[in-house]
Amino acid sequence: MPRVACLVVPRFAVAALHRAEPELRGCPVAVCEVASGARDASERVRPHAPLVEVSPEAERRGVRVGASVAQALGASSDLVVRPLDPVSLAAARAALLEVGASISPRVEIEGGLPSVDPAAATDPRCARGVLHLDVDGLDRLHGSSEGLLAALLYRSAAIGLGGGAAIADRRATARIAAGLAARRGEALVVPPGGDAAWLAPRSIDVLAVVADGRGEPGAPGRRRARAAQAGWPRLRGEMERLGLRRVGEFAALDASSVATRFGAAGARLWRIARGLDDEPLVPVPPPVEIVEGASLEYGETSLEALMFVVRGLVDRLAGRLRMQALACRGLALALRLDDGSRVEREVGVLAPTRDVKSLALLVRAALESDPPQAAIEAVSLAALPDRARPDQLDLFRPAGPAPARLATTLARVAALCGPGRVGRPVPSAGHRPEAFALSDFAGPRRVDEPVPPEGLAAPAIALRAIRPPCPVEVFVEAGRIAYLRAAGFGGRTVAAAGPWRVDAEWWSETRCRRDYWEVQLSDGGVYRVFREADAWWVDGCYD
Amino acid sequence: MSVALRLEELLARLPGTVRLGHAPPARVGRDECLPTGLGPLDEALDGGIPRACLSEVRGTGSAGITSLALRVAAGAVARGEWVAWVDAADAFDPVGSLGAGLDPESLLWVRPPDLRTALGAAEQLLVLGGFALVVLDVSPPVATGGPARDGGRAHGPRLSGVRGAHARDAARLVATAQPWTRLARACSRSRTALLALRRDGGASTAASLRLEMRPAEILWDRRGGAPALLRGMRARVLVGRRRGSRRPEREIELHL
Repeated sequence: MPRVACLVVPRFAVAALHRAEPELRGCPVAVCEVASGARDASERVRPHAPLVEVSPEAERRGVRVGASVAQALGASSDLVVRPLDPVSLAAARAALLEVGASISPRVEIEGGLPSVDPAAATDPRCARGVLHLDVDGLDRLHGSSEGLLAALLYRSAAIGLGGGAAIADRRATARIAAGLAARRGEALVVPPGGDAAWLAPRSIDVLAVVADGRGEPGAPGRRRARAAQAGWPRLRGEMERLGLRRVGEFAALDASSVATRFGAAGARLWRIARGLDDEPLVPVPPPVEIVEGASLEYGETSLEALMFVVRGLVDRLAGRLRMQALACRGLALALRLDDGSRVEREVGVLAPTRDVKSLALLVRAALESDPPQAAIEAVSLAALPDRARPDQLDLFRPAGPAPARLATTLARVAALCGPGRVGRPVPSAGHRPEAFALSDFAGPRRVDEPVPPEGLAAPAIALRAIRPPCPVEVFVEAGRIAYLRAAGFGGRTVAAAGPWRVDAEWWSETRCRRDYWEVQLSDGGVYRVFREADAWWVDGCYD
Repeated sequence: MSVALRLEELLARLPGTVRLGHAPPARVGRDECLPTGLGPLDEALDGGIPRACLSEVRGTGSAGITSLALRVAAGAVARGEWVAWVDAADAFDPVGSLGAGLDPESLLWVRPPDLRTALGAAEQLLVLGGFALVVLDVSPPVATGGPARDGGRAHGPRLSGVRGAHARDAARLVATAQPWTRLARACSRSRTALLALRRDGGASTAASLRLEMRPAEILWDRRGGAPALLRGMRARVLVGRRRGSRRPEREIELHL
């Protein structure tokens, strides 16, 4: 017998808001519909906009779903009202889907794949956090069904959503049980083969969550009224007239009489009540992109205030990456400005990491290097996932830093120093003496046999580079360099060697044709000077 | 009651700003050193540059401080150990380091834009641990004068943060004891040897070992009437007294 788990996050729009703004936990909060045609962020909450979800604290103060914002504020003056944010709602749904995918390969989320389309956000199914998972045989991975549900609830809580979960044989039974469990944030396990027996003593009202066309609490008024005429309220009224109070009483009816009296919707509920529901799971793949975003209440111009939001986004991204044992190789920052334009930035990360501080530093550096030209209304961050760097220990080599810590430190140092300033030097294409590039650093190259230091050849004297080359005045006497003078140093020539000609890239317009000398001056220094196109330069000092 | 416990009690009574000072390890064993590969110097240092300590190498002009640091780094890389070069002076030459026996592709090269960032980056690497050697080059480049003439732009933008307007601030920062004490403390918590390359300046009290180098002779090869070749140099090294060691100061000569 297959087993299905269901995770329900109650008041999902509020849960998504709490996830985006954790400081609102414990406050009376309501989420209202976004006013159509709002020109800017401050106009998105209008007094007549209906509430689509309220927190338990707001409910205790008499605020109800469906009331207008003005009515709600009349009932509770300290109520916090936020417009339904499709970006944070989609991010919360995507995170929920990833939680399911971390437990089972076959996961279905009610409302389909998360979308940031504002039209999709008004779909009531998208405002629900309901996840179905095929967990057949997976309980052995977690010790028991209870262990599996505990893992599911723990991961859901780790991404800031929580909820309740249940396991049953049938999808509809699991949904009903999870709905009941979600009220207390607990887990319920319906014994295998016991769906009908578990449902029988329950009130007939528990079928509401799986009935077709039930009055959606989050649905706009007209849609809710139309659904109420044809759906669950009509069925519920007929059951009440027949004196059916328990699911078991409804299940005991004859199949043909149920179909005649209640129609197709009733027959479907009858099959659910008898534990015969055969509705298949429609799995959806987890999102490829890991995106977090937020719409700001007002257009933001201060970098510090924006970084407060960005740090929260990075923190949530890191949490999602951690759950999938992934690290971040790069970030794509997208800003929507109040002049209607959109700004996109690529933020490179030197080594895959999940370190929030380093990633936030990198985003800050990207914003500081090229600040947006208008107030910011919405910000979103997409992480480019990558596997954390593995490391193979070696018996014959000294151990280096742990790969994860190395990646974090390199990312932090790169954020401090700026792009293109940390890595290992590698030769670059070309023949110019100063040509090199920086590549990713992953530790010293493996050598088959360690070389003892005394086995090294006597090294040549090292050159300290002067970047960029410094112009120098050269006095030539009898074809020899007699005197050098430059900013900061100068002197009579004691000894000199050269010239050595470097003629590189002669095929290109930026030809490099230089004559090099090594010159020892009376100040004790040995310098490397070159002549290029009748100008003299010093590009290093032997030290 | 032990002395340590009593000391903790006394410190607890003092205001919160009072902290225990940095005390580098008193004795360093031979296996706790990074050999330089230069016999006389290793002998004078009881094995080499001490790990878990801050060591300073000072010298002006062509004194050989970079050659010595490259030599230590090359030895460490050849043994498969991890080496980082924090290049506040932007003077590291990857092509030239090949000639010194160092495989530059095994090296982590950090090119901070200014000295303050360089000190921060070095501290991050020390806190990370796992590196055998971190070379911190704060020795300013030779040409510390005014901006290059307009022709200088043909060779790319200026990269070094210790030139021009920043030079005075950098000099002040290098002379300040506090960052060096922080670095020395970070060193002592790991097995990393921190080798600071400096020009002349105020004496740092945080360093466990100080080497002062000055050029003795530049060696040119003029055999057989052929054009001269720069063959190397001889440098005189004043090996300062090391903390925990009874050896007096002594001067040796090195062939680099």
